[in-house]
Amino acid sequence: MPKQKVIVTTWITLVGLTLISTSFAESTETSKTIAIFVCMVTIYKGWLVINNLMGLRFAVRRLRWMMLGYFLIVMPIILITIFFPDGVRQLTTL
Amino acid sequence: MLTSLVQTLPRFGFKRSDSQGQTVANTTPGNIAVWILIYAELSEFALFFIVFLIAKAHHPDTFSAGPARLNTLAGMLNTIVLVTSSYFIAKAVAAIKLGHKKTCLKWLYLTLFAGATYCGIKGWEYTWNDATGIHSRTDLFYSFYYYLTFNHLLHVLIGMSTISWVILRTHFNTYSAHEHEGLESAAFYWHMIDLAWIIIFPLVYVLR
Repeated sequence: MPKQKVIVTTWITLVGLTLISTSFAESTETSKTIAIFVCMVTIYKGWLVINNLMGLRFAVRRLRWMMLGYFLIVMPIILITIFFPDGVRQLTTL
Repeated sequence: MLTSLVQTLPRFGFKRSDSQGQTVANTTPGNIAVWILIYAELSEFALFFIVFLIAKAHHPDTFSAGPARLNTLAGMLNTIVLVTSSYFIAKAVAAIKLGHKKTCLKWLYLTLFAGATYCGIKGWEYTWNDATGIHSRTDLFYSFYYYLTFNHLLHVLIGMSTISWVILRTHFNTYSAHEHEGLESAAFYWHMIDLAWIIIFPLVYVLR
């Protein structure tokens, strides 16, 4: 796919994913399935920006993974606090 | 010592593509100092996220009720504006790599406009909050909400200043198809601002 088309497709996908994520904000409570879905969507959005808009898809692997790794670490941490709040509370109580 | 360390980094294996898409070895896209800054900024945001999550684990009821009172429309609009601004700046970089100065300037101005729109929406959101009785001291969730979003707003303002500087330099023909490191670095910083918001939006507005 030509680079210009990739940029446009990425932008449209990002807007679409944002609208999908927002629809879950209207629900009264976040189920664990929704939480996983929203986190997966967020990782994918980050992946799209890093690879296609920042143009790191063909950059040296170390630099690309430093950026992608941020999402692959932060989003699971968010999920852990949603799935195991008691554990996090115990771990962080002085 | 720091200077010598930074000087060794390009030889550390970073590469980039030139305007024809050819891989140029031993250089990094943008400036290595900007990558250090970007990771420092992202680490700062990560620290905020962790503190937010710890507070959420200790006050589940407060953090579960908080997002329901927020202006989700403003959050969604700001997300769309920021991903659109990332699209604009990507187009600006693509244009300068082809040597199209006028096209590049058009996309840079659109990026700046998107940044201003983000600030406008954020101002409306804070005013709306004030009218509905949401303040930074309402409860712990809103203290975090204001801390995170206002801190991000400051980064947007810094990014806008950088984009303005890059626009000025583009007007003075500083950048070309072969030399555009400064513009590319500013673009990477702007993308970082977008990336931080991509996490803030679900964390604060969506997940309960």
